[in-house]
Amino acid sequence: MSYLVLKLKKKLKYRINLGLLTSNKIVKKRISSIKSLKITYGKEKKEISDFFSISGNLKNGILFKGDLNKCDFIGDQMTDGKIIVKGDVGDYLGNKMKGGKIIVNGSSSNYTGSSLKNGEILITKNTGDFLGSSVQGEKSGMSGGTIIIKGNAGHRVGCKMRSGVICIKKNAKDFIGCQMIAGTIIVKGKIGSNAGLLMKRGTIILEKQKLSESYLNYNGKNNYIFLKVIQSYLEKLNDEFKDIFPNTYIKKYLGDINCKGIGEILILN
Amino acid sequence: MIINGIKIEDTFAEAFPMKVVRLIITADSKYWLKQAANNITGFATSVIACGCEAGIEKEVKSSKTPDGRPGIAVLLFAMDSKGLAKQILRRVGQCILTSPTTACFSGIETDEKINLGDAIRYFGDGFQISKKIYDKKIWRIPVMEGEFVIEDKTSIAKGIGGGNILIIGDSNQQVLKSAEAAVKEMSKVNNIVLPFPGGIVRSGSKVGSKYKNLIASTNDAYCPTLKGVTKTKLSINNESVLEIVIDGTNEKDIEQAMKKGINIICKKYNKGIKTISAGNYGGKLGPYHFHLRKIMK
Repeated sequence: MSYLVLKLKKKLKYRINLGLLTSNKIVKKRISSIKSLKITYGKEKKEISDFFSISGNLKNGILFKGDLNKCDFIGDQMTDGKIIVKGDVGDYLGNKMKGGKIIVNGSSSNYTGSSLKNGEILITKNTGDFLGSSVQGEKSGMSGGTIIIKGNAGHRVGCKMRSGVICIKKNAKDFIGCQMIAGTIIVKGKIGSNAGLLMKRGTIILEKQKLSESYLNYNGKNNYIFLKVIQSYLEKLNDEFKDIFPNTYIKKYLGDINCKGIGEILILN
Repeated sequence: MIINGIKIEDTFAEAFPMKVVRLIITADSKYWLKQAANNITGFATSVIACGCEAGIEKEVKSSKTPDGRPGIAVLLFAMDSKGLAKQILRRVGQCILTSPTTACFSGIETDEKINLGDAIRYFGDGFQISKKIYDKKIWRIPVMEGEFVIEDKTSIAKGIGGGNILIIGDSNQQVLKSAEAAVKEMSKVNNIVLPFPGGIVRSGSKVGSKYKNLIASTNDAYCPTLKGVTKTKLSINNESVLEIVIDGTNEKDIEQAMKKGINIICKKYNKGIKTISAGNYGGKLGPYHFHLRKIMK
């Protein structure tokens, strides 16, 4: 497999924006011109080659190596192709991404998949706050695509989310799905408080737990066959979704009733 | 050409282009699946008066359906996309939405799409919920039983309507028995349906009528009771003619179905059967000509 390999040379003192390194933006560039791409480092203008050693070609995508936790906007607005990161990444991973796939073999920081439009993001460890949410000042968060977190997620997962699927294999902190407009969030572990606060529509699917939030109305149990349908669609995308909804006869809460929302929180088991 | 004493006439079945939709219906039990499938394909024998022609194509294993429940594939044919969309809306709305435990999905993929759930969703009165996974979108419509799940769009494909065989014999009972056996065999072929009751039609028609308002009337040349007064195509001993009409998504499968039907009649149910023929309009009705002797070579 041939990738364009970018290996971080040194530990970064300041944050850098790697948004210009996506397949669609550099597909016609030679390695020499990729090396000389300008990025801001602190108050200085530097070149990519000052931070990364670059080798290989773009045939199968881009491979980042090293601790990139100060590298933001990786995969920014990418339309196709593949990015693999061996190490941790910074904020805004896959920001406004329109297609393709990002795999991070490590953790990501805040705003992962912010305003994601399509494509797939897979994080093998943990992620920070505002996963799949809107960037500051924008009306809606992710509007398509899938994000899979194999570890834990921080606060405000799917804030203002509009469409697409977020799946967290372990735990998530407070305010998941807050101000959610539509879409699906699945959490297989525990969650913090205030799930679905100010939610208008959308679906949050949780493992067995008690919800006592006053803004949610208990709706009883029923058979939600649509879970099997979206499971079959998701299984075709990624094996991580295999048998993700073992049963469809489950409890449902509706809310946020304080803002006339009809979002739903489904409790498996 | 004579096979086992049955004359295969040197003629052809004349078929015409149609538009087709395949729907996959699922349900909790086979009983409700059958109810829904029978209903949506009911009163859909001929475009002459039903708006569409439809039938049950095959059973679909639960491992192959989107919701993991047992399914049935039905094919619906109409003369154009607009007419088909109208029929889909009516039939899904009245026959599938209403059937307990059912769900409905598109079973064919082409570039031409029409509304499926996107048209039915308004029944949800604002409480309907959509779920989109990449290019797949479903609607969840709240109903008194729970939720009705339906795919947003379905594709329309090119289809062929009007493939047929005529079974001509000396005994009414024998012709019916042969036709039933042929239907059973032909139904094993995928991508085709036999839209008439039990797959068989006794009232084959000709184009036009002596009455101005009728576009089709009885095919008097094949009516055994009119042999003395019309330009009959029957011999004096022929007492019964039954037709099997085949609609399909492609020529190859229609041909295969015709071959299977004729084969089983000739090999096992030839008693009392004299001739296998086919209905055509001299090549003026449609571009698809299924020549019996060519098929049976």
